[in-house]
Amino acid sequence: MTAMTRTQLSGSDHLTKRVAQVRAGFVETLDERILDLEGLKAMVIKGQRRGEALQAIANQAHRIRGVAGTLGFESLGTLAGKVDEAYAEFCSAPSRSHEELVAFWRANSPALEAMLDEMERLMDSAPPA
Amino acid sequence: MEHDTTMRILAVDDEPVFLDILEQHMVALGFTDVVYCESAEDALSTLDGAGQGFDCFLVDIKMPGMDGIELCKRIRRRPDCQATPILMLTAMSESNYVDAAFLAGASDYITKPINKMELSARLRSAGELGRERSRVAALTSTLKGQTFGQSALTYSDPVRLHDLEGAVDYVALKNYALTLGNLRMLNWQAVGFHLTGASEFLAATGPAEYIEMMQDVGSILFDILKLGRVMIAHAGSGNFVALIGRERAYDPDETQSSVNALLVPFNDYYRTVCPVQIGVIAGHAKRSALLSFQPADRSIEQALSSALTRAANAALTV
Repeated sequence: MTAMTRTQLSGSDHLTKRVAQVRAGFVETLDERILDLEGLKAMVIKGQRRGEALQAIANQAHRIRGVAGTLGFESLGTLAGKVDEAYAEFCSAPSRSHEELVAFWRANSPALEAMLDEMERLMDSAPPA
Repeated sequence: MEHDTTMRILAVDDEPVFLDILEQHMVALGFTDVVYCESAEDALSTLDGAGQGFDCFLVDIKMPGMDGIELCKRIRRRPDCQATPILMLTAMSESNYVDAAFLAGASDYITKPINKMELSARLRSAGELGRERSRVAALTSTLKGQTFGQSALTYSDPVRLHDLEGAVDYVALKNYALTLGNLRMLNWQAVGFHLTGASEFLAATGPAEYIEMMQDVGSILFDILKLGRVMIAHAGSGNFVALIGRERAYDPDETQSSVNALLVPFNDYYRTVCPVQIGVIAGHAKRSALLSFQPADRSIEQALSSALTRAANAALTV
Protein backbone atom coordinates (compact mmCIF):
# COMPACT_ATOMS: atom_id res chain seq x y z
CA MET A 1 0.00 0.00 0.00
CA THR A 2 1.40 3.40 -0.93
CA ALA A 3 1.70 6.25 1.51
CA MET A 4 -0.86 8.20 -0.47
CA THR A 5 -3.41 5.41 -0.25
CA ARG A 6 -2.79 5.12 3.47
CA THR A 7 -3.35 8.84 3.90
CA GLN A 8 -6.55 8.69 1.90
CA LEU A 9 -7.81 5.78 3.92
CA SER A 10 -6.99 7.44 7.15
CA GLY A 11 -8.75 10.64 5.99
CA SER A 12 -11.70 8.57 4.92
CA ASP A 13 -11.78 6.76 8.28
CA HIS A 14 -11.76 10.07 10.05
CA LEU A 15 -14.62 11.31 7.88
CA THR A 16 -16.63 8.17 8.51
CA LYS A 17 -16.15 8.59 12.25
CA ARG A 18 -17.11 12.26 12.18
CA VAL A 19 -20.13 11.65 9.95
CA ALA A 20 -21.23 8.97 12.45
CA GLN A 21 -21.05 11.61 15.17
CA VAL A 22 -23.04 14.11 13.11
CA ARG A 23 -25.51 11.32 12.30
CA ALA A 24 -26.03 10.57 15.98
CA GLY A 25 -26.39 14.28 16.65
CA PHE A 26 -29.03 14.52 13.94
CA VAL A 27 -31.03 11.64 15.43
CA GLU A 28 -30.96 13.49 18.74
CA THR A 29 -32.59 16.49 17.05
CA LEU A 30 -35.46 14.39 15.72
CA ASP A 31 -37.39 14.56 18.98
CA GLU A 32 -37.56 18.33 18.82
CA ARG A 33 -38.34 18.30 15.11
CA ILE A 34 -41.20 15.85 15.65
CA LEU A 35 -42.66 18.05 18.40
CA ASP A 36 -42.37 21.04 16.11
CA LEU A 37 -44.11 19.22 13.25
CA GLU A 38 -46.84 17.85 15.52
CA GLY A 39 -47.49 21.39 16.73
CA LEU A 40 -47.75 22.64 13.15
CA LYS A 41 -50.02 19.73 12.25
CA ALA A 42 -52.32 20.66 15.14
CA MET A 43 -52.44 24.25 13.88
CA VAL A 44 -53.56 23.07 10.43
CA ILE A 45 -56.22 20.78 11.90
CA LYS A 46 -57.54 23.51 14.23
CA GLY A 47 -57.50 26.07 11.43
CA GLN A 48 -54.98 28.34 13.20
CA ARG A 49 -52.77 30.29 10.75
CA ARG A 50 -52.98 27.37 8.36
CA GLY A 51 -50.98 28.91 5.52
CA GLU A 52 -48.13 29.78 7.86
CA ALA A 53 -48.21 26.29 9.41
CA LEU A 54 -48.11 24.54 6.02
CA GLN A 55 -45.19 26.70 4.93
CA ALA A 56 -43.35 25.88 8.17
CA ILE A 57 -43.96 22.16 7.57
CA ALA A 58 -42.52 22.55 4.05
CA ASN A 59 -39.47 24.37 5.46
CA GLN A 60 -38.82 21.73 8.11
CA ALA A 61 -39.20 18.92 5.55
CA HIS A 62 -36.82 20.77 3.23
CA ARG A 63 -34.17 20.97 5.95
CA ILE A 64 -34.55 17.30 6.81
CA ARG A 65 -34.38 16.36 3.14
CA GLY A 66 -31.14 18.29 2.75
CA VAL A 67 -29.30 16.33 5.41
CA ALA A 68 -30.99 12.93 5.77
CA GLY A 69 -29.67 11.44 2.53
CA THR A 70 -26.11 12.59 3.19
CA LEU A 71 -26.22 10.93 6.61
CA GLY A 72 -27.40 7.63 5.17
CA PHE A 73 -31.10 8.02 6.07
CA GLU A 74 -32.23 7.63 2.47
CA SER A 75 -35.76 6.59 3.34
CA LEU A 76 -36.30 9.66 5.54
CA GLY A 77 -34.73 11.84 2.84
CA THR A 78 -37.16 10.49 0.23
CA LEU A 79 -40.20 10.93 2.49
CA ALA A 80 -39.10 14.45 3.45
CA GLY A 81 -38.61 15.25 -0.24
CA LYS A 82 -42.21 14.29 -0.98
CA VAL A 83 -43.50 16.53 1.81
CA ASP A 84 -41.17 19.36 0.80
CA GLU A 85 -42.28 19.35 -2.83
CA ALA A 86 -46.02 18.91 -2.24
CA TYR A 87 -46.31 21.45 0.58
CA ALA A 88 -43.99 24.01 -1.00
CA GLU A 89 -45.92 23.86 -4.27
CA PHE A 90 -49.24 24.29 -2.47
CA CYS A 91 -47.88 27.25 -0.52
CA SER A 92 -46.48 28.91 -3.63
CA ALA A 93 -49.95 29.96 -4.80
CA PRO A 94 -50.89 33.51 -3.72
CA SER A 95 -54.11 32.32 -2.07
CA ARG A 96 -56.06 29.12 -1.56
CA SER A 97 -59.74 28.58 -0.82
CA HIS A 98 -60.89 26.67 2.24
CA GLU A 99 -62.02 23.80 -0.01
CA GLU A 100 -58.63 23.60 -1.70
CA LEU A 101 -56.94 23.54 1.69
CA VAL A 102 -59.15 20.74 2.97
CA ALA A 103 -58.58 18.71 -0.20
CA PHE A 104 -54.83 19.29 0.00
CA TRP A 105 -54.68 18.22 3.62
CA ARG A 106 -56.72 15.09 2.91
CA ALA A 107 -54.40 14.14 0.05
CA ASN A 108 -51.09 15.11 1.63
CA SER A 109 -51.32 14.58 5.40
CA PRO A 110 -50.45 10.87 4.88
CA ALA A 111 -47.08 11.93 3.44
CA LEU A 112 -46.42 13.98 6.56
CA GLU A 113 -47.49 11.06 8.77
CA ALA A 114 -45.16 8.72 6.88
CA MET A 115 -42.27 11.12 7.43
CA LEU A 116 -43.10 11.46 11.15
CA ASP A 117 -43.34 7.66 11.48
CA GLU A 118 -39.91 7.25 9.90
CA MET A 119 -38.45 9.89 12.21
CA GLU A 120 -39.87 8.04 15.21
CA ARG A 121 -38.56 4.73 13.91
CA LEU A 122 -35.05 6.19 13.59
CA MET A 123 -35.22 7.57 17.10
CA ASP A 124 -36.40 4.23 18.48
CA SER A 125 -33.72 2.27 16.65
CA ALA A 126 -30.88 4.57 17.73
CA PRO A 127 -28.48 3.01 20.24
CA PRO A 128 -28.82 4.50 23.72
CA ALA A 129 -26.49 7.45 24.32
CA MET B 1 -5.46 17.85 -10.64
CA GLU B 2 -5.13 18.69 -6.93
CA HIS B 3 -7.43 21.10 -5.14
CA ASP B 4 -6.38 24.59 -4.34
CA THR B 5 -7.00 24.00 -0.65
CA THR B 6 -5.85 27.50 0.19
CA MET B 7 -9.18 28.82 -1.10
CA ARG B 8 -11.00 30.89 1.49
CA ILE B 9 -14.63 29.81 1.45
CA LEU B 10 -17.84 31.19 2.95
CA ALA B 11 -20.61 28.59 3.39
CA VAL B 12 -24.18 29.60 4.25
CA ASP B 13 -26.99 27.24 5.27
CA ASP B 14 -29.72 27.61 7.87
CA GLU B 15 -29.49 23.95 8.92
CA PRO B 16 -26.72 23.48 11.52
CA VAL B 17 -26.61 19.72 10.91
CA PHE B 18 -25.90 20.37 7.23
CA LEU B 19 -23.10 22.78 8.12
CA ASP B 20 -21.68 20.08 10.41
CA ILE B 21 -21.66 17.56 7.55
CA LEU B 22 -20.22 20.11 5.18
CA GLU B 23 -17.45 20.93 7.63
CA GLN B 24 -16.47 17.27 7.87
CA HIS B 25 -16.32 16.98 4.09
CA MET B 26 -14.33 20.20 3.78
CA VAL B 27 -11.82 19.06 6.39
CA ALA B 28 -11.50 15.70 4.63
CA LEU B 29 -10.85 17.50 1.33
CA GLY B 30 -8.17 19.65 2.95
CA PHE B 31 -10.01 22.99 3.07
CA THR B 32 -9.25 24.65 6.36
CA ASP B 33 -10.08 28.30 5.71
CA VAL B 34 -13.87 28.02 5.71
CA VAL B 35 -16.32 30.32 7.48
CA TYR B 36 -19.78 28.87 8.21
CA CYS B 37 -22.86 31.09 8.58
CA GLU B 38 -26.42 30.07 9.48
CA SER B 39 -28.21 32.90 7.65
CA ALA B 40 -27.85 35.24 4.72
CA GLU B 41 -27.81 38.20 7.09
CA ASP B 42 -24.97 36.63 9.06
CA ALA B 43 -23.08 36.02 5.80
CA LEU B 44 -23.42 39.66 4.74
CA SER B 45 -22.19 40.84 8.15
CA THR B 46 -19.25 38.47 7.85
CA LEU B 47 -18.47 39.88 4.40
CA ASP B 48 -18.68 43.44 5.73
CA GLY B 49 -16.36 42.64 8.59
CA ALA B 50 -13.91 40.46 6.71
CA GLY B 51 -10.60 42.11 6.09
CA GLN B 52 -9.70 39.42 3.63
CA GLY B 53 -12.02 38.49 0.76
CA PHE B 54 -13.39 35.07 -0.08
CA ASP B 55 -12.44 32.91 -3.07
CA CYS B 56 -15.69 30.93 -3.22
CA PHE B 57 -19.20 30.95 -1.75
CA LEU B 58 -21.45 27.98 -1.00
CA VAL B 59 -25.01 29.27 -0.58
CA ASP B 60 -28.17 27.39 0.35
CA ILE B 61 -31.14 28.59 -1.70
CA LYS B 62 -34.02 28.15 0.68
CA MET B 63 -33.47 29.93 3.96
CA PRO B 64 -35.86 31.80 6.24
CA GLY B 65 -35.54 35.59 6.03
CA MET B 66 -33.33 36.51 3.12
CA ASP B 67 -33.08 33.51 0.80
CA GLY B 68 -30.02 32.34 -1.10
CA ILE B 69 -31.05 33.94 -4.37
CA GLU B 70 -31.25 37.40 -2.80
CA LEU B 71 -27.95 36.75 -1.01
CA CYS B 72 -26.39 35.77 -4.34
CA LYS B 73 -27.53 39.09 -5.86
CA ARG B 74 -26.17 41.04 -2.88
CA ILE B 75 -22.82 39.25 -3.08
CA ARG B 76 -22.58 39.99 -6.81
CA ARG B 77 -23.22 43.69 -6.19
CA ARG B 78 -20.05 43.89 -4.13
CA PRO B 79 -17.16 45.04 -6.34
CA ASP B 80 -14.78 42.59 -4.67
CA CYS B 81 -17.10 39.61 -5.33
CA GLN B 82 -18.14 40.09 -8.94
CA ALA B 83 -15.80 37.39 -10.17
CA THR B 84 -15.99 35.03 -7.20
CA PRO B 85 -17.61 31.65 -7.90
CA ILE B 86 -20.93 31.13 -6.10
CA LEU B 87 -22.09 27.52 -5.79
CA MET B 88 -25.75 27.18 -4.87
CA LEU B 89 -26.73 24.37 -2.52
CA THR B 90 -30.22 23.00 -2.48
CA ALA B 91 -32.48 20.02 -2.27
CA MET B 92 -34.78 21.84 -4.63
CA SER B 93 -34.98 20.60 -8.17
CA GLU B 94 -37.59 22.99 -9.51
CA SER B 95 -36.39 24.81 -12.56
CA ASN B 96 -37.67 28.20 -11.40
CA TYR B 97 -35.20 28.11 -8.51
CA VAL B 98 -32.40 27.05 -10.84
CA ASP B 99 -33.24 29.83 -13.33
CA ALA B 100 -33.43 32.46 -10.61
CA ALA B 101 -30.15 31.33 -9.06
CA PHE B 102 -28.17 31.50 -12.31
CA LEU B 103 -29.74 34.83 -13.28
CA ALA B 104 -28.78 36.15 -9.84
CA GLY B 105 -25.16 35.36 -10.66
CA ALA B 106 -24.64 31.79 -9.45
CA SER B 107 -21.79 29.92 -11.08
CA ASP B 108 -22.84 26.37 -10.35
CA TYR B 109 -25.29 24.24 -8.44
CA ILE B 110 -24.85 21.39 -5.98
CA THR B 111 -27.85 19.22 -5.20
CA LYS B 112 -28.39 17.91 -1.70
CA PRO B 113 -27.77 15.36 -0.37
CA ILE B 114 -24.15 16.21 -1.08
CA ASN B 115 -21.45 13.63 -1.49
CA LYS B 116 -17.72 14.12 -1.11
CA MET B 117 -16.87 13.26 -4.72
CA GLU B 118 -19.30 15.76 -6.20
CA LEU B 119 -18.31 18.46 -3.73
CA SER B 120 -14.68 17.83 -4.54
CA ALA B 121 -15.27 18.11 -8.30
CA ARG B 122 -17.34 21.27 -8.00
CA LEU B 123 -14.83 22.97 -5.72
CA ARG B 124 -12.02 22.11 -8.09
CA SER B 125 -13.97 23.67 -10.98
CA ALA B 126 -14.78 26.67 -8.80
CA GLY B 127 -11.09 27.15 -8.04
CA GLU B 128 -10.20 27.10 -11.72
CA LEU B 129 -13.14 29.33 -12.61
CA GLY B 130 -12.23 31.81 -9.88
CA ARG B 131 -8.68 32.19 -11.11
CA GLU B 132 -9.79 32.64 -14.72
CA ARG B 133 -12.58 35.03 -13.79
CA SER B 134 -10.31 37.15 -11.65
CA ARG B 135 -7.95 37.50 -14.56
CA VAL B 136 -10.70 38.45 -17.01
CA ALA B 137 -12.50 40.63 -14.46
CA ALA B 138 -9.30 42.57 -13.84
CA LEU B 139 -9.12 43.25 -17.55
CA THR B 140 -12.82 43.99 -17.90
CA SER B 141 -12.61 46.51 -15.08
CA THR B 142 -10.96 48.89 -17.54
CA LEU B 143 -14.52 49.76 -18.55
CA LYS B 144 -14.92 51.41 -15.20
CA GLY B 145 -11.98 53.68 -15.77
CA GLN B 146 -9.27 51.68 -14.09
CA THR B 147 -5.93 51.53 -15.76
CA PHE B 148 -3.91 48.62 -16.96
CA GLY B 149 -0.91 48.06 -19.12
CA GLN B 150 -0.77 46.03 -22.30
CA SER B 151 -2.90 43.30 -20.84
CA ALA B 152 -2.98 39.59 -21.46
CA LEU B 153 -6.60 39.62 -22.71
CA THR B 154 -6.75 37.31 -25.67
CA TYR B 155 -9.32 36.83 -28.37
CA SER B 156 -10.39 33.51 -26.87
CA ASP B 157 -11.18 35.01 -23.44
CA PRO B 158 -14.88 35.30 -22.59
CA VAL B 159 -15.78 38.87 -21.61
CA ARG B 160 -18.11 39.48 -18.68
CA LEU B 161 -21.15 41.50 -19.76
CA HIS B 162 -21.83 44.12 -17.09
CA ASP B 163 -25.20 45.57 -16.17
CA LEU B 164 -27.11 43.46 -18.66
CA GLU B 165 -30.16 41.66 -17.33
CA GLY B 166 -30.02 38.04 -18.42
CA ALA B 167 -26.25 38.07 -18.94
CA VAL B 168 -24.31 35.29 -17.28
CA ASP B 169 -20.79 33.98 -17.61
CA TYR B 170 -20.22 31.37 -20.29
CA VAL B 171 -19.18 28.72 -17.78
CA ALA B 172 -22.27 29.48 -15.68
CA LEU B 173 -24.48 29.12 -18.77
CA LYS B 174 -23.03 25.68 -19.45
CA ASN B 175 -23.39 24.72 -15.80
CA TYR B 176 -26.99 25.86 -15.95
CA ALA B 177 -27.65 23.52 -18.89
CA LEU B 178 -25.94 20.64 -17.11
CA THR B 179 -27.99 21.33 -13.98
CA LEU B 180 -31.23 21.25 -15.95
CA GLY B 181 -30.34 18.03 -17.76
CA ASN B 182 -31.66 17.03 -21.16
CA LEU B 183 -35.29 16.81 -20.05
CA ARG B 184 -35.62 20.34 -18.74
CA MET B 185 -33.31 21.74 -21.41
CA LEU B 186 -36.15 20.86 -23.78
CA ASN B 187 -37.71 24.14 -22.60
CA TRP B 188 -34.86 26.07 -24.16
CA GLN B 189 -33.23 26.46 -27.55
CA ALA B 190 -29.63 27.54 -27.87
CA VAL B 191 -28.60 30.07 -30.48
CA GLY B 192 -25.04 31.07 -31.34
CA PHE B 193 -23.65 34.24 -32.89
CA HIS B 194 -20.26 34.89 -34.41
CA LEU B 195 -18.81 38.35 -34.80
CA THR B 196 -16.84 38.99 -37.94
CA GLY B 197 -14.01 41.47 -37.62
CA ALA B 198 -13.69 41.02 -33.84
CA SER B 199 -10.13 39.67 -33.81
CA GLU B 200 -8.98 42.48 -36.11
CA PHE B 201 -10.77 44.95 -33.83
CA LEU B 202 -8.91 43.63 -30.78
CA ALA B 203 -5.59 43.78 -32.60
CA ALA B 204 -6.24 47.32 -33.84
CA THR B 205 -7.71 48.88 -30.72
CA GLY B 206 -6.63 46.90 -27.67
CA PRO B 207 -8.63 45.31 -24.84
CA ALA B 208 -10.49 48.37 -23.52
CA GLU B 209 -12.22 49.21 -26.82
CA TYR B 210 -12.70 45.52 -27.55
CA ILE B 211 -14.49 44.89 -24.25
CA GLU B 212 -16.68 47.93 -24.83
CA MET B 213 -17.54 46.73 -28.33
CA MET B 214 -18.49 43.28 -26.94
CA GLN B 215 -20.69 45.01 -24.40
CA ASP B 216 -22.42 46.94 -27.21
CA VAL B 217 -23.01 43.80 -29.26
CA GLY B 218 -24.21 41.88 -26.19
CA SER B 219 -26.74 44.64 -25.45
CA ILE B 220 -28.01 44.60 -29.05
CA LEU B 221 -28.40 40.82 -29.03
CA PHE B 222 -30.21 41.01 -25.73
CA ASP B 223 -32.59 43.69 -27.07
CA ILE B 224 -33.41 41.57 -30.09
CA LEU B 225 -33.90 38.37 -28.10
CA LYS B 226 -35.53 39.73 -24.96
CA LEU B 227 -39.16 39.31 -26.06
CA GLY B 228 -39.22 36.05 -24.14
CA ARG B 229 -37.00 34.29 -21.65
CA VAL B 230 -33.33 34.80 -22.44
CA MET B 231 -29.92 34.10 -20.93
CA ILE B 232 -26.88 35.31 -22.83
CA ALA B 233 -23.12 34.90 -22.50
CA HIS B 234 -20.01 35.89 -24.38
CA ALA B 235 -18.15 32.67 -25.12
CA GLY B 236 -14.83 34.13 -26.25
CA SER B 237 -13.34 34.12 -29.77
CA GLY B 238 -15.95 36.55 -31.05
CA ASN B 239 -18.84 34.26 -30.15
CA PHE B 240 -22.00 34.81 -28.16
CA VAL B 241 -24.48 32.18 -27.15
CA ALA B 242 -27.99 32.63 -25.85
CA LEU B 243 -30.68 30.38 -24.46
CA ILE B 244 -34.15 31.45 -25.50
CA GLY B 245 -37.51 29.88 -24.68
CA ARG B 246 -38.41 26.90 -26.82
CA GLU B 247 -41.80 28.46 -27.60
CA ARG B 248 -40.10 31.41 -29.26
CA ALA B 249 -40.06 31.58 -33.08
CA TYR B 250 -36.48 32.16 -34.19
CA ASP B 251 -35.19 32.73 -37.68
CA PRO B 252 -31.41 33.14 -38.01
CA ASP B 253 -31.55 35.28 -41.16
CA GLU B 254 -34.14 37.62 -39.74
CA THR B 255 -32.31 37.90 -36.42
CA GLN B 256 -29.01 38.49 -38.18
CA SER B 257 -30.51 41.32 -40.28
CA SER B 258 -32.05 42.97 -37.23
CA VAL B 259 -28.83 42.80 -35.22
CA ASN B 260 -26.70 44.13 -38.06
CA ALA B 261 -29.15 46.97 -38.70
CA LEU B 262 -28.83 48.03 -35.06
CA LEU B 263 -25.04 47.76 -35.35
CA VAL B 264 -24.85 50.39 -38.15
CA PRO B 265 -24.44 53.48 -35.92
CA PHE B 266 -21.97 51.59 -33.75
CA ASN B 267 -19.94 50.67 -36.82
CA ASP B 268 -19.81 54.35 -37.75
CA TYR B 269 -18.01 54.90 -34.47
CA TYR B 270 -15.92 51.72 -34.63
CA ARG B 271 -14.58 52.78 -38.04
CA THR B 272 -12.88 55.74 -36.35
CA VAL B 273 -10.69 53.32 -34.40
CA CYS B 274 -10.57 50.26 -36.68
CA PRO B 275 -11.03 49.97 -40.43
CA VAL B 276 -12.71 46.54 -40.22
CA GLN B 277 -16.47 46.51 -39.94
CA ILE B 278 -18.09 44.42 -37.20
CA GLY B 279 -20.82 42.06 -38.39
CA VAL B 280 -22.91 39.40 -36.70
CA ILE B 281 -23.62 35.96 -38.14
CA ALA B 282 -26.49 34.14 -36.46
CA GLY B 283 -26.51 30.35 -36.30
CA HIS B 284 -29.45 27.97 -36.35
CA ALA B 285 -31.25 27.21 -33.10
CA LYS B 286 -30.25 23.94 -31.45
CA ARG B 287 -32.27 21.92 -29.00
CA SER B 288 -31.51 19.08 -26.63
CA ALA B 289 -32.84 15.66 -27.46
CA LEU B 290 -34.80 13.96 -24.70
CA LEU B 291 -33.39 10.50 -25.30
CA SER B 292 -29.84 11.63 -25.75
CA PHE B 293 -26.69 10.33 -24.13
CA GLN B 294 -25.00 13.63 -24.92
CA PRO B 295 -24.42 16.06 -22.04
CA ALA B 296 -27.13 18.68 -21.68
CA ASP B 297 -24.78 21.52 -22.66
CA ARG B 298 -24.25 19.91 -26.07
CA SER B 299 -26.87 22.14 -27.68
CA ILE B 300 -24.82 25.20 -26.64
CA GLU B 301 -21.76 23.85 -28.41
CA GLN B 302 -23.86 22.91 -31.44
CA ALA B 303 -25.31 26.43 -31.57
CA LEU B 304 -21.81 27.92 -31.60
CA SER B 305 -20.73 25.48 -34.31
CA SER B 306 -23.73 26.44 -36.40
CA ALA B 307 -22.84 30.14 -36.17
CA LEU B 308 -19.22 29.39 -37.09
CA THR B 309 -20.28 27.23 -40.04
CA ARG B 310 -22.58 29.95 -41.33
CA ALA B 311 -19.78 32.49 -40.85
CA ALA B 312 -17.39 30.29 -42.85
CA ASN B 313 -19.98 29.84 -45.62
CA ALA B 314 -20.66 33.57 -45.70
CA ALA B 315 -16.92 34.25 -46.04
CA LEU B 316 -16.74 31.86 -48.99
CA THR B 317 -19.57 33.60 -50.83
CA VAL B 318 -18.07 37.08 -50.44
